[in-house]
Amino acid sequence: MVLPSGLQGNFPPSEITFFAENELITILPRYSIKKIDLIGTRIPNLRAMRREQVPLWVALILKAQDKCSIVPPKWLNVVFLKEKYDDEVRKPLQFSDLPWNWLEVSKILLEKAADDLLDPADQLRSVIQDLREVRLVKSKKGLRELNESNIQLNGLSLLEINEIRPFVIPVMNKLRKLHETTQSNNDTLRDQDMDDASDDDY
Amino acid sequence: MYGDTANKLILDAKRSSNLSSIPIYQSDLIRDIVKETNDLNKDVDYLTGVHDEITDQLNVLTEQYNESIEKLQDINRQRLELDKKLKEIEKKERDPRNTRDFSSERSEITAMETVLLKRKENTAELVQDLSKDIEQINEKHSKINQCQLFVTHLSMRRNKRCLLAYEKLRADKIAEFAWLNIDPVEGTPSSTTMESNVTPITKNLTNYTTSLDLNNLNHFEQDFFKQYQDLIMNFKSDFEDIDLSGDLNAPTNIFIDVRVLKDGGEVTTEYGSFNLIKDSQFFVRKSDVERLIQQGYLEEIV
Repeated sequence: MVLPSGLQGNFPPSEITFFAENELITILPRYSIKKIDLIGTRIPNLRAMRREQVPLWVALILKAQDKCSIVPPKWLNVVFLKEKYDDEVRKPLQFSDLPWNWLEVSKILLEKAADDLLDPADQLRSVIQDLREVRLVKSKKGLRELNESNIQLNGLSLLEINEIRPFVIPVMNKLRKLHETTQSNNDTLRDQDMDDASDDDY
Repeated sequence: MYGDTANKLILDAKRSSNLSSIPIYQSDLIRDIVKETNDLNKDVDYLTGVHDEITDQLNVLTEQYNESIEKLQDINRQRLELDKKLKEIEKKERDPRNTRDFSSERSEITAMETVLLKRKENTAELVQDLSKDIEQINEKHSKINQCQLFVTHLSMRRNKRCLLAYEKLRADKIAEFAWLNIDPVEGTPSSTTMESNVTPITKNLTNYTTSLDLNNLNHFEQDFFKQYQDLIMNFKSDFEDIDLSGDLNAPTNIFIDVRVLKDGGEVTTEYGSFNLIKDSQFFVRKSDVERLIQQGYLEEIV
Protein backbone atom coordinates (compact mmCIF):
# COMPACT_ATOMS: atom_id res chain seq x y z
CA MET A 1 0.00 0.00 0.00
CA VAL A 2 1.04 3.60 -0.45
CA LEU A 3 0.79 4.40 3.24
CA PRO A 4 3.93 3.28 5.13
CA SER A 5 3.23 0.06 6.96
CA GLY A 6 4.02 1.75 10.28
CA LEU A 7 1.00 4.02 9.81
CA GLN A 8 -1.42 1.31 8.71
CA GLY A 9 -3.93 0.32 11.35
CA ASN A 10 -2.45 2.43 14.10
CA PHE A 11 -1.83 6.09 14.90
CA PRO A 12 1.65 7.45 15.50
CA PRO A 13 1.93 9.39 18.78
CA SER A 14 2.31 12.66 16.87
CA GLU A 15 -1.11 12.10 15.34
CA ILE A 16 -2.69 11.55 18.72
CA THR A 17 -1.10 14.76 19.98
CA PHE A 18 -2.62 16.41 16.90
CA PHE A 19 -6.09 15.17 17.89
CA ALA A 20 -5.60 16.41 21.43
CA GLU A 21 -4.60 19.85 20.15
CA ASN A 22 -8.03 20.29 18.67
CA GLU A 23 -9.75 20.24 22.06
CA LEU A 24 -10.95 23.51 23.54
CA ILE A 25 -9.09 25.02 26.44
CA THR A 26 -9.64 28.17 28.52
CA ILE A 27 -7.12 30.97 28.17
CA LEU A 28 -6.57 34.32 29.77
CA PRO A 29 -5.52 36.70 26.95
CA ARG A 30 -3.17 39.55 27.66
CA TYR A 31 -4.07 41.61 24.61
CA SER A 32 -7.28 42.18 22.76
CA ILE A 33 -7.45 40.34 19.48
CA LYS A 34 -10.27 40.53 16.98
CA LYS A 35 -12.18 37.37 16.17
CA ILE A 36 -10.86 35.13 13.40
CA ASP A 37 -13.10 32.93 11.27
CA LEU A 38 -11.18 29.81 10.32
CA ILE A 39 -12.58 27.06 8.12
CA GLY A 40 -12.53 24.57 10.98
CA THR A 41 -13.18 26.63 14.07
CA ARG A 42 -14.00 30.16 15.07
CA ILE A 43 -11.77 32.08 17.37
CA PRO A 44 -13.94 34.56 19.28
CA ASN A 45 -13.09 38.16 20.13
CA LEU A 46 -10.37 38.07 22.73
CA ARG A 47 -10.26 40.79 25.32
CA ALA A 48 -7.47 41.24 27.80
CA MET A 49 -7.95 39.33 31.08
CA ARG A 50 -11.30 37.92 29.96
CA ARG A 51 -11.45 34.10 29.96
CA GLU A 52 -12.24 32.60 26.61
CA GLN A 53 -12.30 29.10 25.14
CA VAL A 54 -10.07 28.42 22.11
CA PRO A 55 -8.59 25.29 20.57
CA LEU A 56 -5.42 24.14 22.28
CA TRP A 57 -3.26 24.74 19.21
CA VAL A 58 -4.30 28.39 19.08
CA ALA A 59 -3.60 28.71 22.77
CA LEU A 60 -0.13 27.28 22.22
CA ILE A 61 0.66 29.74 19.45
CA LEU A 62 -0.50 32.67 21.58
CA LYS A 63 1.40 31.30 24.55
CA ALA A 64 4.59 31.01 22.50
CA GLN A 65 4.22 34.71 21.69
CA ASP A 66 3.44 35.55 25.32
CA LYS A 67 0.01 36.86 24.39
CA CYS A 68 -1.96 34.78 26.82
CA SER A 69 -1.70 32.49 29.78
CA ILE A 70 -3.39 29.13 29.74
CA VAL A 71 -5.85 28.20 32.45
CA PRO A 72 -5.03 24.59 33.26
CA PRO A 73 -7.95 22.14 33.09
CA LYS A 74 -9.50 21.34 36.44
CA TRP A 75 -8.14 17.79 36.51
CA LEU A 76 -4.54 18.95 36.12
CA ASN A 77 -3.53 19.48 39.74
CA VAL A 78 -1.70 17.36 42.24
CA VAL A 79 -4.63 16.86 44.65
CA PHE A 80 -7.02 15.58 42.01
CA LEU A 81 -4.47 13.31 40.38
CA LYS A 82 -3.38 11.91 43.79
CA GLU A 83 -7.02 11.07 44.42
CA LYS A 84 -7.20 9.30 41.07
CA TYR A 85 -4.04 7.43 41.88
CA ASP A 86 -5.55 6.23 45.18
CA ASP A 87 -8.64 5.22 43.20
CA GLU A 88 -6.52 3.18 40.85
CA VAL A 89 -4.83 1.40 43.72
CA ARG A 90 -8.11 0.76 45.52
CA LYS A 91 -9.91 -0.69 42.51
CA PRO A 92 -7.55 -3.13 40.82
CA LEU A 93 -10.13 -4.27 38.27
CA GLN A 94 -11.05 -0.97 36.64
CA PHE A 95 -9.49 2.21 35.33
CA SER A 96 -10.37 5.49 36.99
CA ASP A 97 -12.16 8.15 35.05
CA LEU A 98 -9.78 10.53 33.27
CA PRO A 99 -10.22 12.56 30.09
CA TRP A 100 -9.44 10.64 26.91
CA ASN A 101 -6.42 12.81 26.22
CA TRP A 102 -5.06 13.36 29.73
CA LEU A 103 -1.58 12.14 28.84
CA GLU A 104 -1.11 14.31 25.78
CA VAL A 105 -2.63 17.46 27.25
CA SER A 106 -0.63 17.18 30.46
CA LYS A 107 2.53 16.58 28.46
CA ILE A 108 1.93 19.58 26.22
CA LEU A 109 1.05 21.88 29.09
CA LEU A 110 3.99 20.74 31.23
CA GLU A 111 6.30 21.37 28.33
CA LYS A 112 5.00 24.65 26.97
CA ALA A 113 3.03 26.29 29.75
CA ALA A 114 4.69 25.09 32.92
CA ASP A 115 4.54 28.57 34.45
CA ASP A 116 0.73 28.67 34.24
CA LEU A 117 0.14 25.52 36.23
CA LEU A 118 -1.08 25.73 39.82
CA ASP A 119 1.31 23.16 41.22
CA PRO A 120 5.04 22.79 40.74
CA ALA A 121 5.81 20.98 37.51
CA ASP A 122 8.02 18.35 39.09
CA GLN A 123 5.32 17.23 41.52
CA LEU A 124 2.79 17.04 38.69
CA ARG A 125 5.22 15.09 36.58
CA SER A 126 5.86 12.53 39.27
CA VAL A 127 2.16 11.98 40.04
CA ILE A 128 1.37 11.66 36.32
CA GLN A 129 4.19 9.16 35.97
CA ASP A 130 2.81 7.17 38.92
CA LEU A 131 -0.67 7.17 37.43
CA ARG A 132 0.66 6.06 34.08
CA GLU A 133 2.65 3.23 35.58
CA VAL A 134 -0.17 1.87 37.68
CA ARG A 135 -2.47 1.94 34.65
CA LEU A 136 0.16 0.25 32.50
CA VAL A 137 0.43 -2.58 35.01
CA LYS A 138 -3.33 -2.95 34.98
CA SER A 139 -3.60 -3.05 31.20
CA LYS A 140 -0.79 -5.61 31.08
CA LYS A 141 -2.64 -7.76 33.60
CA GLY A 142 -5.80 -7.35 31.55
CA LEU A 143 -4.10 -8.87 28.52
CA ARG A 144 -4.37 -12.24 30.24
CA GLU A 145 -8.11 -12.06 29.67
CA LEU A 146 -7.79 -11.81 25.88
CA ASN A 147 -10.35 -13.98 24.15
CA GLU A 148 -11.78 -14.39 20.69
CA SER A 149 -14.99 -12.43 21.14
CA ASN A 150 -14.63 -9.19 23.08
CA ILE A 151 -12.54 -6.97 25.31
CA GLN A 152 -13.65 -4.19 27.61
CA LEU A 153 -11.39 -1.17 28.04
CA ASN A 154 -13.48 1.29 30.04
CA GLY A 155 -11.64 4.43 31.02
CA LEU A 156 -8.51 3.81 28.97
CA SER A 157 -7.22 6.89 27.18
CA LEU A 158 -6.57 7.04 23.44
CA LEU A 159 -2.80 6.87 23.78
CA GLU A 160 -3.00 3.88 26.09
CA ILE A 161 -5.34 2.06 23.72
CA ASN A 162 -3.06 2.96 20.84
CA GLU A 163 -0.12 1.32 22.62
CA ILE A 164 -1.78 -2.03 23.07
CA ARG A 165 -3.65 -2.05 19.75
CA PRO A 166 -0.89 -3.59 17.56
CA PHE A 167 -0.63 -6.43 20.04
CA VAL A 168 -4.26 -6.97 20.99
CA ILE A 169 -5.87 -7.00 17.55
CA PRO A 170 -3.64 -9.63 15.86
CA VAL A 171 -3.83 -11.87 18.92
CA MET A 172 -7.60 -11.62 19.04
CA ASN A 173 -7.82 -12.29 15.31
CA LYS A 174 -5.69 -15.40 15.68
CA LEU A 175 -7.77 -16.58 18.61
CA ARG A 176 -10.95 -16.02 16.65
CA LYS A 177 -9.65 -18.01 13.70
CA LEU A 178 -8.56 -20.87 15.93
CA HIS A 179 -11.91 -20.76 17.67
CA GLU A 180 -13.77 -20.88 14.36
CA THR A 181 -11.81 -23.87 13.11
CA THR A 182 -12.29 -25.81 16.34
CA GLN A 183 -15.96 -24.89 16.21
CA SER A 184 -16.41 -26.14 12.65
CA ASN A 185 -14.33 -29.22 13.45
CA ASN A 186 -16.58 -29.95 16.38
CA ASP A 187 -19.59 -29.52 14.14
CA THR A 188 -18.30 -31.96 11.54
CA LEU A 189 -17.30 -34.37 14.29
CA ARG A 190 -20.77 -34.17 15.74
CA ASP A 191 -22.27 -34.74 12.30
CA GLN A 192 -20.07 -37.78 11.84
CA ASP A 193 -21.14 -39.06 15.23
CA MET A 194 -24.72 -38.65 14.20
CA ASP A 195 -24.06 -40.55 10.98
CA ASP A 196 -22.38 -43.36 12.87
CA ALA A 197 -25.22 -43.53 15.32
CA SER A 198 -27.81 -43.67 12.58
CA ASP A 199 -25.79 -46.40 10.84
CA ASP A 200 -25.77 -48.40 14.01
CA ASP A 201 -29.48 -48.02 14.38
CA TYR A 202 -30.29 -49.65 11.08
CA MET B 1 9.96 -31.42 -7.45
CA TYR B 2 7.59 -29.02 -9.11
CA GLY B 3 7.18 -25.79 -7.18
CA ASP B 4 10.70 -25.71 -5.76
CA THR B 5 11.86 -22.89 -8.04
CA ALA B 6 8.72 -20.96 -7.19
CA ASN B 7 9.55 -21.47 -3.55
CA LYS B 8 12.98 -19.97 -4.12
CA LEU B 9 11.36 -16.95 -5.73
CA ILE B 10 9.05 -16.48 -2.76
CA LEU B 11 11.98 -16.72 -0.35
CA ASP B 12 13.70 -13.99 -2.34
CA ALA B 13 10.54 -11.88 -2.18
CA LYS B 14 10.35 -12.38 1.58
CA ARG B 15 13.96 -11.29 1.97
CA SER B 16 13.44 -8.16 -0.07
CA SER B 17 10.09 -7.22 1.49
CA ASN B 18 11.81 -5.35 4.32
CA LEU B 19 14.44 -3.63 2.21
CA SER B 20 14.19 0.06 1.47
CA SER B 21 15.21 -0.51 -2.15
CA ILE B 22 14.06 -2.85 -4.87
CA PRO B 23 16.56 -5.64 -5.63
CA ILE B 24 17.27 -6.81 -9.15
CA TYR B 25 14.54 -8.64 -11.03
CA GLN B 26 15.01 -12.43 -10.79
CA SER B 27 14.64 -13.05 -14.50
CA ASP B 28 16.47 -16.43 -14.42
CA LEU B 29 14.27 -17.89 -11.72
CA ILE B 30 11.18 -16.58 -13.42
CA ARG B 31 12.24 -18.03 -16.75
CA ASP B 32 12.72 -21.39 -15.04
CA ILE B 33 9.29 -21.22 -13.49
CA VAL B 34 7.65 -20.30 -16.77
CA LYS B 35 9.48 -23.19 -18.44
CA GLU B 36 8.31 -25.56 -15.76
CA THR B 37 4.76 -24.35 -16.21
CA ASN B 38 5.05 -24.89 -19.95
CA ASP B 39 6.22 -28.46 -19.33
CA LEU B 40 3.32 -29.00 -17.01
CA ASN B 41 1.01 -27.66 -19.68
CA LYS B 42 2.43 -30.20 -22.13
CA ASP B 43 1.70 -32.90 -19.57
CA VAL B 44 -1.84 -31.68 -19.34
CA ASP B 45 -2.20 -31.80 -23.12
CA TYR B 46 -0.87 -35.36 -23.18
CA LEU B 47 -3.12 -36.42 -20.32
CA THR B 48 -6.19 -34.97 -21.99
CA GLY B 49 -5.14 -36.88 -25.15
CA VAL B 50 -4.98 -40.07 -23.14
CA HIS B 51 -8.27 -39.19 -21.60
CA ASP B 52 -9.87 -38.76 -25.04
CA GLU B 53 -8.40 -42.07 -26.20
CA ILE B 54 -9.78 -43.86 -23.21
CA THR B 55 -13.15 -42.27 -23.72
CA ASP B 56 -13.13 -43.40 -27.37
CA GLN B 57 -12.22 -46.91 -26.30
CA LEU B 58 -14.93 -46.80 -23.74
CA ASN B 59 -17.45 -45.68 -26.32
CA VAL B 60 -16.54 -48.55 -28.64
CA LEU B 61 -16.82 -51.03 -25.83
CA THR B 62 -20.16 -49.65 -24.72
CA GLU B 63 -21.43 -49.91 -28.28
CA GLN B 64 -20.32 -53.52 -28.43
CA TYR B 65 -21.91 -54.14 -25.09
CA ASN B 66 -25.18 -52.67 -26.22
CA GLU B 67 -25.06 -54.71 -29.42
CA SER B 68 -24.49 -57.96 -27.59
CA ILE B 69 -27.29 -57.17 -25.19
CA GLU B 70 -29.53 -56.60 -28.18
CA LYS B 71 -28.37 -59.92 -29.61
CA LEU B 72 -29.19 -61.56 -26.30
CA GLN B 73 -32.67 -60.18 -26.44
CA ASP B 74 -32.98 -61.35 -30.03
CA ILE B 75 -31.96 -64.88 -29.05
CA ASN B 76 -34.45 -64.87 -26.24
CA ARG B 77 -37.18 -63.83 -28.66
CA GLN B 78 -36.24 -66.59 -31.09
CA ARG B 79 -36.31 -69.09 -28.29
CA LEU B 80 -39.73 -67.96 -27.28
CA GLU B 81 -40.89 -68.42 -30.87
CA LEU B 82 -39.41 -71.89 -30.97
CA ASP B 83 -41.11 -72.70 -27.70
CA LYS B 84 -44.38 -71.59 -29.21
CA LYS B 85 -43.82 -73.75 -32.27
CA LEU B 86 -42.97 -76.70 -30.06
CA LYS B 87 -46.14 -76.24 -28.10
CA GLU B 88 -48.15 -76.11 -31.31
CA ILE B 89 -46.58 -79.33 -32.49
CA GLU B 90 -47.31 -80.95 -29.18
CA LYS B 91 -50.91 -79.85 -29.48
CA LYS B 92 -51.11 -81.22 -32.98
CA GLU B 93 -49.52 -84.48 -31.82
CA ARG B 94 -52.04 -84.84 -29.08
CA ASP B 95 -54.83 -84.24 -31.52
CA PRO B 96 -56.41 -87.70 -32.11
CA ARG B 97 -57.33 -86.81 -35.67
CA ASN B 98 -53.74 -86.25 -36.51
CA THR B 99 -51.77 -89.13 -37.76
CA ARG B 100 -48.82 -87.33 -39.20
CA ASP B 101 -45.49 -87.85 -37.56
CA PHE B 102 -43.91 -84.65 -36.24
CA SER B 103 -40.77 -86.21 -34.80
CA SER B 104 -38.52 -84.90 -37.55
CA GLU B 105 -39.75 -81.33 -37.05
CA ARG B 106 -39.42 -81.76 -33.32
CA SER B 107 -35.84 -82.87 -33.53
CA GLU B 108 -35.15 -79.97 -35.87
CA ILE B 109 -36.55 -77.49 -33.37
CA THR B 110 -34.65 -79.01 -30.43
CA ALA B 111 -31.47 -78.89 -32.47
CA MET B 112 -32.11 -75.23 -33.22
CA GLU B 113 -32.82 -74.68 -29.57
CA THR B 114 -29.52 -76.20 -28.48
CA VAL B 115 -27.74 -74.01 -31.00
CA LEU B 116 -29.54 -70.98 -29.65
CA LEU B 117 -28.71 -71.99 -26.10
CA LYS B 118 -25.09 -72.21 -26.96
CA ARG B 119 -25.19 -68.85 -28.69
CA LYS B 120 -26.92 -67.37 -25.71
CA GLU B 121 -24.23 -68.67 -23.43
CA ASN B 122 -21.52 -67.21 -25.64
CA THR B 123 -23.20 -63.82 -25.84
CA ALA B 124 -23.79 -63.76 -22.11
CA GLU B 125 -20.13 -64.45 -21.58
CA LEU B 126 -19.22 -61.71 -24.02
CA VAL B 127 -21.53 -59.31 -22.21
CA GLN B 128 -19.94 -60.18 -18.91
CA ASP B 129 -16.45 -59.73 -20.31
CA LEU B 130 -17.37 -56.40 -21.87
CA SER B 131 -18.92 -55.08 -18.69
CA LYS B 132 -15.85 -56.15 -16.77
CA ASP B 133 -13.62 -54.37 -19.29
CA ILE B 134 -15.70 -51.24 -19.07
CA GLU B 135 -15.55 -51.33 -15.32
CA GLN B 136 -11.79 -51.79 -15.36
CA ILE B 137 -11.21 -48.99 -17.79
CA ASN B 138 -13.55 -46.78 -15.87
CA GLU B 139 -11.69 -47.44 -12.68
CA LYS B 140 -8.27 -46.91 -14.21
CA HIS B 141 -9.48 -43.84 -15.99
CA SER B 142 -11.19 -42.24 -13.05
CA LYS B 143 -8.48 -42.96 -10.53
CA ILE B 144 -5.21 -42.54 -12.36
CA ASN B 145 -5.91 -40.15 -15.16
CA GLN B 146 -8.01 -37.77 -13.14
CA CYS B 147 -5.51 -37.77 -10.30
CA GLN B 148 -2.65 -36.97 -12.67
CA LEU B 149 -4.57 -34.17 -14.31
CA PHE B 150 -5.58 -32.72 -10.98
CA VAL B 151 -2.08 -32.73 -9.50
CA THR B 152 -0.63 -31.17 -12.65
CA HIS B 153 -3.20 -28.43 -12.48
CA LEU B 154 -2.42 -27.81 -8.84
CA SER B 155 1.29 -27.46 -9.61
CA MET B 156 0.54 -24.96 -12.35
CA ARG B 157 -1.72 -22.97 -10.09
CA ARG B 158 0.92 -22.91 -7.36
CA ASN B 159 3.47 -21.56 -9.82
CA LYS B 160 1.03 -18.91 -10.89
CA ARG B 161 0.35 -17.85 -7.33
CA CYS B 162 4.04 -17.53 -6.51
CA LEU B 163 4.72 -15.47 -9.63
CA LEU B 164 1.81 -13.15 -8.88
CA ALA B 165 2.88 -12.71 -5.26
CA TYR B 166 6.39 -11.77 -6.32
CA GLU B 167 5.21 -9.34 -8.95
CA LYS B 168 2.63 -7.77 -6.63
CA LEU B 169 5.26 -7.15 -3.97
CA ARG B 170 7.47 -5.37 -6.47
CA ALA B 171 4.56 -3.38 -7.87
CA ASP B 172 3.64 -2.24 -4.35
CA LYS B 173 7.20 -1.15 -3.72
CA ILE B 174 7.30 0.78 -6.99
CA ALA B 175 4.03 2.49 -6.05
CA GLU B 176 5.44 3.39 -2.64
CA PHE B 177 8.45 4.95 -4.25
CA ALA B 178 6.40 6.81 -6.81
CA TRP B 179 4.53 8.60 -4.04
CA LEU B 180 7.76 9.84 -2.45
CA ASN B 181 8.45 12.19 -5.33
CA ILE B 182 12.23 11.74 -5.44
CA ASP B 183 14.27 10.90 -8.47
CA PRO B 184 15.21 7.27 -8.98
CA VAL B 185 18.87 6.27 -9.09
CA GLU B 186 20.26 6.00 -12.59
CA GLY B 187 23.20 3.85 -13.61
CA THR B 188 25.10 1.45 -11.40
CA PRO B 189 24.27 1.73 -7.74
CA SER B 190 27.17 2.42 -5.43
CA SER B 191 27.04 2.78 -1.68
CA THR B 192 27.63 6.53 -1.81
CA THR B 193 24.73 7.27 -4.11
CA MET B 194 22.51 5.01 -2.05
CA GLU B 195 23.36 6.86 1.15
CA SER B 196 22.95 10.31 -0.25
CA ASN B 197 19.60 9.26 -1.59
CA VAL B 198 18.23 8.51 1.87
CA THR B 199 16.80 11.92 2.61
CA PRO B 200 15.84 13.13 6.07
CA ILE B 201 12.16 12.72 5.41
CA THR B 202 12.57 9.10 4.44
CA LYS B 203 14.69 8.22 7.44
CA ASN B 204 11.72 7.84 9.72
CA LEU B 205 9.76 5.72 7.27
CA THR B 206 10.58 2.16 8.23
CA ASN B 207 9.89 -0.59 5.73
CA TYR B 208 9.27 1.98 3.06
CA THR B 209 10.83 1.92 -0.37
CA THR B 210 13.00 5.01 -0.40
CA SER B 211 15.39 4.33 -3.24
CA LEU B 212 14.88 2.84 -6.62
CA ASP B 213 17.37 1.78 -9.24
CA LEU B 214 15.72 1.82 -12.64
CA ASN B 215 18.19 -0.82 -13.85
CA ASN B 216 16.83 -3.30 -11.33
CA LEU B 217 13.39 -3.16 -12.89
CA ASN B 218 12.47 -5.11 -15.95
CA HIS B 219 10.99 -3.42 -18.96
CA PHE B 220 7.36 -3.85 -17.92
CA GLU B 221 8.03 -2.58 -14.43
CA GLN B 222 9.70 0.53 -15.80
CA ASP B 223 6.62 1.12 -17.91
CA PHE B 224 4.43 0.56 -14.89
CA PHE B 225 6.47 3.05 -12.87
CA LYS B 226 6.13 5.74 -15.52
CA GLN B 227 2.42 5.19 -15.94
CA TYR B 228 1.87 5.12 -12.19
CA GLN B 229 3.69 8.45 -11.89
CA ASP B 230 1.35 9.87 -14.52
CA LEU B 231 -1.61 8.51 -12.58
CA ILE B 232 -0.40 10.23 -9.41
CA MET B 233 0.10 13.48 -11.31
CA ASN B 234 -3.43 13.27 -12.68
CA PHE B 235 -4.84 12.53 -9.27
CA LYS B 236 -2.95 15.34 -7.62
CA SER B 237 -4.09 17.85 -10.19
CA ASP B 238 -7.65 17.31 -8.96
CA PHE B 239 -6.68 18.57 -5.52
CA GLU B 240 -4.33 21.40 -6.31
CA ASP B 241 -4.58 23.06 -2.90
CA ILE B 242 -3.44 19.96 -1.04
CA ASP B 243 0.02 18.50 -1.32
CA LEU B 244 -0.96 14.83 -1.37
CA SER B 245 2.59 13.51 -1.52
CA GLY B 246 3.83 15.72 1.27
CA ASP B 247 4.93 14.97 4.79
CA LEU B 248 2.65 12.51 6.58
CA ASN B 249 3.51 13.72 10.04
CA ALA B 250 1.03 15.96 11.79
CA PRO B 251 2.03 19.64 11.71
CA THR B 252 3.51 21.00 14.90
CA ASN B 253 5.48 24.20 14.52
CA ILE B 254 4.95 26.90 11.97
CA PHE B 255 8.54 28.15 12.06
CA ILE B 256 11.45 25.77 12.26
CA ASP B 257 15.23 25.87 12.30
CA VAL B 258 16.81 24.14 9.33
CA ARG B 259 20.38 23.27 8.54
CA VAL B 260 21.65 22.98 4.98
CA LEU B 261 23.05 19.53 4.25
CA LYS B 262 24.41 20.04 0.76
CA ASP B 263 25.07 22.96 -1.53
CA GLY B 264 22.22 23.82 -3.80
CA GLY B 265 23.01 27.32 -4.97
CA GLU B 266 20.26 29.87 -4.84
CA VAL B 267 16.85 28.29 -4.50
CA THR B 268 13.71 30.27 -4.93
CA THR B 269 10.62 29.01 -3.17
CA GLU B 270 7.13 30.38 -3.45
CA TYR B 271 7.74 32.79 -0.58
CA GLY B 272 11.26 34.01 -1.21
CA SER B 273 14.77 32.86 -2.05
CA PHE B 274 17.55 31.23 -0.05
CA ASN B 275 21.19 30.82 -0.74
CA LEU B 276 21.89 27.22 0.14
CA ILE B 277 25.45 27.01 1.47
CA LYS B 278 26.47 23.84 3.25
CA ASP B 279 26.19 23.93 7.08
CA SER B 280 24.41 27.27 7.25
CA GLN B 281 21.21 27.59 9.28
CA PHE B 282 17.91 29.31 8.66
CA PHE B 283 14.81 30.07 10.67
CA VAL B 284 12.00 29.73 8.16
CA ARG B 285 8.38 28.84 7.76
CA LYS B 286 8.00 25.09 7.59
CA SER B 287 5.62 25.07 4.64
CA ASP B 288 8.20 26.99 2.55
CA VAL B 289 10.96 24.46 2.93
CA GLU B 290 9.01 21.19 3.16
CA ARG B 291 9.84 20.37 -0.44
CA LEU B 292 13.54 21.08 0.12
CA ILE B 293 13.56 18.87 3.21
CA GLN B 294 11.94 16.11 1.18
CA GLN B 295 14.57 16.46 -1.52
CA GLY B 296 17.35 16.17 1.03
CA TYR B 297 18.85 19.66 0.91
CA LEU B 298 17.74 20.67 4.35
CA GLU B 299 17.44 18.99 7.72
CA GLU B 300 15.15 20.10 10.47
CA ILE B 301 16.85 20.89 13.76
CA VAL B 302 14.83 19.61 16.68
